[in-house]
Amino acid sequence: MSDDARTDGGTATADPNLVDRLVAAKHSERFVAVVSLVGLLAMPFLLIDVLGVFDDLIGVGLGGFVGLPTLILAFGIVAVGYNLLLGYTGLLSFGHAALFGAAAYAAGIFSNEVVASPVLAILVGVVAATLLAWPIGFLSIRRSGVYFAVLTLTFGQMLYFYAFGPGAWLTNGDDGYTPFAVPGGAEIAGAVPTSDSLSDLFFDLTGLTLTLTDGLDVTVGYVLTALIGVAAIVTAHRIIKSPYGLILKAIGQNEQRVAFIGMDVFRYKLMAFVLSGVFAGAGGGIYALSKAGLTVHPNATLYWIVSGDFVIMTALGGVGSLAGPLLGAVVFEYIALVVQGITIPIIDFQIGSLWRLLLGLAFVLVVAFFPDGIYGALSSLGERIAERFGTESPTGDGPRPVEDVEETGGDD
Amino acid sequence: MVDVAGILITGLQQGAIYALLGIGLTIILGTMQFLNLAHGALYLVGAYTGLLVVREISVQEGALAGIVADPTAFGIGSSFLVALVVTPILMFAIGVAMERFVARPLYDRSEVEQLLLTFGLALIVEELARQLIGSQPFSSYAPEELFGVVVSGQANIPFVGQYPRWRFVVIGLTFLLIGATYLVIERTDFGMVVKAGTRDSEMVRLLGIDITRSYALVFGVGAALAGLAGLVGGTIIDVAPGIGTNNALVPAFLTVVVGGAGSVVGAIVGGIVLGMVAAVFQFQAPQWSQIVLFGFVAVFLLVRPEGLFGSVEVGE
Amino acid sequence: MERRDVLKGAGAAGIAGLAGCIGGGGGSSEYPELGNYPVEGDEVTLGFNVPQSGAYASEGNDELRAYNLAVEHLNNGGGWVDMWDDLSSGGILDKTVTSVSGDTATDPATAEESATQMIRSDGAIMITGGVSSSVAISQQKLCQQERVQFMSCLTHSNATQGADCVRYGFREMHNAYMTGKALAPILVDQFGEDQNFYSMYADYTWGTSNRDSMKEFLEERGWNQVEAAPTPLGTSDFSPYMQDVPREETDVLLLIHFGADAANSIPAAFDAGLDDDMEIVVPLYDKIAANAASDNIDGVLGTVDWNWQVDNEYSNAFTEAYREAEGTAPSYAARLAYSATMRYAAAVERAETFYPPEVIREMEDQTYSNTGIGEAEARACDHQSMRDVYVVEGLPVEEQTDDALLSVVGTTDRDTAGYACDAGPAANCELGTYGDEDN
Repeated sequence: MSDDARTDGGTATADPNLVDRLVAAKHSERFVAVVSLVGLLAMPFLLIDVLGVFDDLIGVGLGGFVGLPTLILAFGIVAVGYNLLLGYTGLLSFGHAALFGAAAYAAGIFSNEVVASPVLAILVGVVAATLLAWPIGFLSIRRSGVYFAVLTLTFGQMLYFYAFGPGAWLTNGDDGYTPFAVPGGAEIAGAVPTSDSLSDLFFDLTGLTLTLTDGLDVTVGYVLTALIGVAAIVTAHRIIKSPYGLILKAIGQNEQRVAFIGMDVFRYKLMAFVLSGVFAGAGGGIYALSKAGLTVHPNATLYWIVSGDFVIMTALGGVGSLAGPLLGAVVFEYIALVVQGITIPIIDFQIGSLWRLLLGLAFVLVVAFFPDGIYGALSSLGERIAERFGTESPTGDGPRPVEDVEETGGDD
Repeated sequence: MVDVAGILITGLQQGAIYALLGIGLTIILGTMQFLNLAHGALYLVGAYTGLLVVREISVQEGALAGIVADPTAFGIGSSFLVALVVTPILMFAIGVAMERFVARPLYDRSEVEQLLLTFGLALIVEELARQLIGSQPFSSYAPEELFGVVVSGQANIPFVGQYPRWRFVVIGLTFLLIGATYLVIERTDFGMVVKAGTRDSEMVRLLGIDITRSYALVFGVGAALAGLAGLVGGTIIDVAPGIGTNNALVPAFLTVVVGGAGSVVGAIVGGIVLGMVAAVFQFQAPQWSQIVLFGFVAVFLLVRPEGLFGSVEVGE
Repeated sequence: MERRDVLKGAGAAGIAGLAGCIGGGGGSSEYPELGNYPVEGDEVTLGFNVPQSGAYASEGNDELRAYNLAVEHLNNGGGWVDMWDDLSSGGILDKTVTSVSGDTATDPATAEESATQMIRSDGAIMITGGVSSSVAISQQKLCQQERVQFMSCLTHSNATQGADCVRYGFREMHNAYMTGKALAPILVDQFGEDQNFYSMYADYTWGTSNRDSMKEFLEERGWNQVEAAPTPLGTSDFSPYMQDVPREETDVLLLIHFGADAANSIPAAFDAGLDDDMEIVVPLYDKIAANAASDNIDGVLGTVDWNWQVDNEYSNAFTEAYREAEGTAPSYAARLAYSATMRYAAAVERAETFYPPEVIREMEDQTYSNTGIGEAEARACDHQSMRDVYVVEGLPVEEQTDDALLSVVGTTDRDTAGYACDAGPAANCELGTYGDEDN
């Protein structure tokens, strides 16, 4: 590959080299779909097996555990949607926990009261969050800046305190609600438990034993989650690349100018809010599925600090990019759930509750010095590398690939 | 049977603490257009300062035992008085430092970035408290007596009936502090700067006032007030690392938006209004009290976004 | 044999070339893989998941001290290890005992997260801990799913080994139902017939089951509940709630609060002067609560799991060992923690394997009298220990010492406090599977 780059280097050519083609293809929807599918299916392997190598190698428990990738994706999907609001439209909501939590509870209640179907339950979560996002958005968008943030916060907190006290008949209050509390748990099509791993499934179908590592032997639930994740990413990509996304971005940069050219800013902002609610709903539904037989609690779903977590994930990973918020969710949950358990050998120091301090420091440093987040920092590094090895005329006299020309307004 | 007087007193006591928090936040917001989500962290530091002073000075084997010749001479009451002096001084210094090292680099940044960075700072302060002092809650440290007067136990008040004495002290103390702050802002040059700054900071600069120094002063005073709110709050609620974000930050913001950003009077009135709203429902339907409180603010923001005494929205 | 077990047994090896491990497991492969069984290497890990923050942090830290003492004794001898026939120093089944600790933050969601890590990342074979019944319940649900044993420590809700019971959970502590049975006759005896009582309770499973059980057993004896008022767990300012108690109508106030909640609510009740108009009762007493209200607790009644003054050889041996290590007398939270660890270790030794279903069977229907609370029976039908309940009252200020704020005024024997397998909370209990049913 680098040989290719060198021979082409410096000359304008009608046939762009591999790096250039990759850079260009980055923007095509099919590419996004394939990369995200591969990425999401590889994530458990990377987190559990690859990082897990260090457990034996240097005795530090860097490896993730089964179940972590599902949680990461649940939050990651919310963050991808949240980014449409914060990163593009420039609206800082402190009320997304309400949408996420309402979806989790709706999915959970549906699973027990109607049918324990994971797909339908997640769908119910999406519908619930969307229906809730509409009035909250409709009211909150009347105010901007910190007033918008406070309004979304007040609506979220009302729901939180309702779930805790007066709504306990529905939510089971402080004891927490158990989704999919049915014999057999969550089963797809009433036959395949989502807690089954791929090797279980293989055994059921063929009677043969399949040998896989922990990271590759993902559960059926995770496969479902990953598919929803891909759908979410592709949807977000399409929104961002559409004229619609451009308008959202323009609103984020200069709302008044958009209003001057006759656009209905209110309507666009509301749609951005509701769309982010759809994502929050999917994330909440997946969260409920991941808690099948366990506990959904107001503190972990509806409290405004959870909204703060979404803010941190999005800003940490990088606002205004498609992959940033996902990366933010990975870093956030990895620090919260894996780094916390690490004991540093020799000095025998357990990180424990220091994880929050580490997370806070990482967050402040990233926001202060890399306004585009971790992903922004990485991709500018990547661009520099691509420039180094690609054709050296990015603005180029050579013809650009078609996809790239058509995407010039976009940004990912 | 509901006794109105009981509700009033509870509301007044809670509202006065909200007001202290709100004044600190609003003068910083008004003067510097700076959104400080670390305001709750200042409350937290104030509460822990109170905790350390009260516990360590009152206890013979405390860390400060060597400094005081005869620790037994200082009862728990007088150590609260010590805290009452130490806390605002310390918090003022922290506020000045915060203006210099946290706020100043952020004045030109966007509102969202200010919110994000100060939110991160709040997390860091909370975690430092957890690491340094521990995550367990400490019970509140209301003194037994002040100046030889018993302030614990209950007093029998006409129309109110039995009511904890300390609550009256809290109301008196916070209103004293609020009154003093109000006077300072109304009657001093410093107050002129704050008042003018909240209206038009460009104008203040044009008039040749060293606005940087004033900014530091305003931040220091705001921090001192938040710290005092924490000190007083710590005599009523348990002191734990989460109280900054859970018990102070959100009420402070609610108070400011209800009162009107930048308005000191607004923060006072807003705080008391919110305290009253919460108190009424705390007696009537405790489970609904927080829901009604947030609902009240939401409706208020939609109907009267400029707040009770504000003229403009920040960030509009 | 269950399909999953075949798969896990064969499938764990993977591409890293670890295939040599299959069938190894240090000779303990007479059972298939299940949960975190088999235990590899010469160490076995126990998970201590206790509140280190939140309303019950004080009790949680007490538990942690006792857990660490238990580990020390299991490895190096001392305490009950020297007294129990089943136990000997040198660890459990000759594996050195190590531990991981976590913070539940007195919150079921955080507790579940922390327990998940102990199971998945640290390979804990048994998890114990928890103050707060909702926390215990959320953890034992997880443990049942993951096939990891959960030894409940301080949890007093009826649901823990009632409606929410699991096969993998065991509880030694008494519950709200037993408190009601033990306390109601004494209250009626003390304060007379036809009294009006007002319940103020922490608004979660523990509070509601105490509210219900006290109501059931007091109204059975002709008392009348004026009202029951919920307070959120973690409330620190109780004064508005106290103002709400109707002084004229109420004869007895039940404060169903625990830990920091109780430490705040009891003084608040006295601050509001409620003791002038009514009697105050704390159905489940607690060292921290007694401490915070020590000026006022003279004669205030309640129940406890145990008190260090209970005089028997196991009680005394534990108290002595704890005092030597920590310099103070142990709370009952500490005894429960110590006992949970020792009972698990002894069951493993008796079963001669860490294989969870066998360990569980060892504990079921076991009658024992070596944990300092007299004779008790861990029942197979609901995994609740049937045991005596201690009724205590606060000492007058002049008789209090640092270690003794309460005195045991009565012991309600387990036949009186207990209940049959088809009665009370046990009637709602479906334990679930062992996980080896298909073997």
